[in-house]
Amino acid sequence: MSLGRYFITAVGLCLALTQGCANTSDGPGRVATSYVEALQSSDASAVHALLDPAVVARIDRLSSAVKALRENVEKHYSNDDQKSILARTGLTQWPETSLDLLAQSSHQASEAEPLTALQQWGTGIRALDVSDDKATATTWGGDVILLRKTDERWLIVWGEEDEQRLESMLLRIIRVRDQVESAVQNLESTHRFGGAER
Amino acid sequence: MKIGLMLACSLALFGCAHTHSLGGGPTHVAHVDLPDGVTIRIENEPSEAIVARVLRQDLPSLLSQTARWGTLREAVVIRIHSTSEGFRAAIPHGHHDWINGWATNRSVDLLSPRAAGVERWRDQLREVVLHELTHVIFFQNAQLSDDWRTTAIPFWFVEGMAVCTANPTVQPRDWAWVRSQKFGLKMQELLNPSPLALKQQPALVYGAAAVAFEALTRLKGEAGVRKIISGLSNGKIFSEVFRRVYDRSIEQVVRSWGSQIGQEF
Repeated sequence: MSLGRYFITAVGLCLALTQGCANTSDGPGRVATSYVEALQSSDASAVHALLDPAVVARIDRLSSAVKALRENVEKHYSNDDQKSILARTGLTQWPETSLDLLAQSSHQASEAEPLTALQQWGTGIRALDVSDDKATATTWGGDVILLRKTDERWLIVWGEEDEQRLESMLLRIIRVRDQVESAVQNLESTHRFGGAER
Repeated sequence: MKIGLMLACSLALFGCAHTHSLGGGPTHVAHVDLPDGVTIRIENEPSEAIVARVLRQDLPSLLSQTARWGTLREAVVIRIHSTSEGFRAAIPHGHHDWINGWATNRSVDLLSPRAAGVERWRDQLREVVLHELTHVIFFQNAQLSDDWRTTAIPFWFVEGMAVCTANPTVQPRDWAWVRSQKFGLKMQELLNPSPLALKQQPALVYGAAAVAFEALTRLKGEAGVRKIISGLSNGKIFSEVFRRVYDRSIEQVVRSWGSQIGQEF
């Protein structure tokens, strides 16, 4: 292990956290812990505050595309058709919040059953590895949280795989949304034309 | 200097304790020790713990942005309120509904943006704290312990400094923008607004204050502003220091700005 890297083991970190206050500086360990706590309590506002703003912007884009799609589908299609369109998006169910969306996005790759945030993220940080302006926190559940220091603050960032997964989900949902919008427009146009004929 | 401050600040240790001074309920307290021995104490109710943590993270970069006006010389307490009632009880009476931060020379009171229902609150938190910390640094460096509104320091100088520091990229910030606004105020009233004008047109008067302050910095840079702060700390009155730094009276300078929005007086 080089001098530039250090490791904080579970004991000290957990002791500090169970006391409700950190004896360490407000570094990546504290931020990662706050992130896990926010996920476990489904606190979307806190999750978004800790995430890299670029990730938040992408989540917002995804949420807005899903919302537009869902509104159109629920208004114009039968229950069976709705299920079929939902399946085309790759979503298992309509997300009610952006956190639901993230949870679905993260377990899509493994094809695993949907997990609650608690199951997914263990119960705390087991280890922390810091190198210059990057850090990796590992939860007791084995999840890995990546952090980057930007403008003197540690932000949660996503790994390349997560980014790609989110991007491909976004593209798929946008494609389905556009197809549905186009179909709905055609449907409305046909109705108008039919009405004029009579 | 700036990098040194940020590094030292990020290395500062954080302590933790519990008291009962905020809103009557249990209060979390954390201390941020700055390199020159000054401490910032952050108080929050448990519901705002995440806001306090984020703020602790953001303080080094916020202080690096206020460093152009000076550094903190005395301890400061930042209180994060979880309710509008608690926040209003902590600040002087008679303020408008839209106020979400209040500063004295030793304290900052904030209405938590999270508690106020702001969805993406980190940027807003940074902006409000930066605005209020700019006030604190000005008050401390100018040695103002009383309410600045009882002094002869103009509104546009105090608020313009804070807006320009906290919102450096807000567009467009020039006299053409002021001229384009529909308002029935004289330049002097715009730059030193009455409570009514402040209530009715806050965006305009704060925007105009920022335009005026930026126009001032174009005259003699930030160094000119620091000279004013230094002069005030020596007990001089604002108009006297202003004339000494800019070789003109405030009225002459304001008149030149007025001509840019089509007001000759």
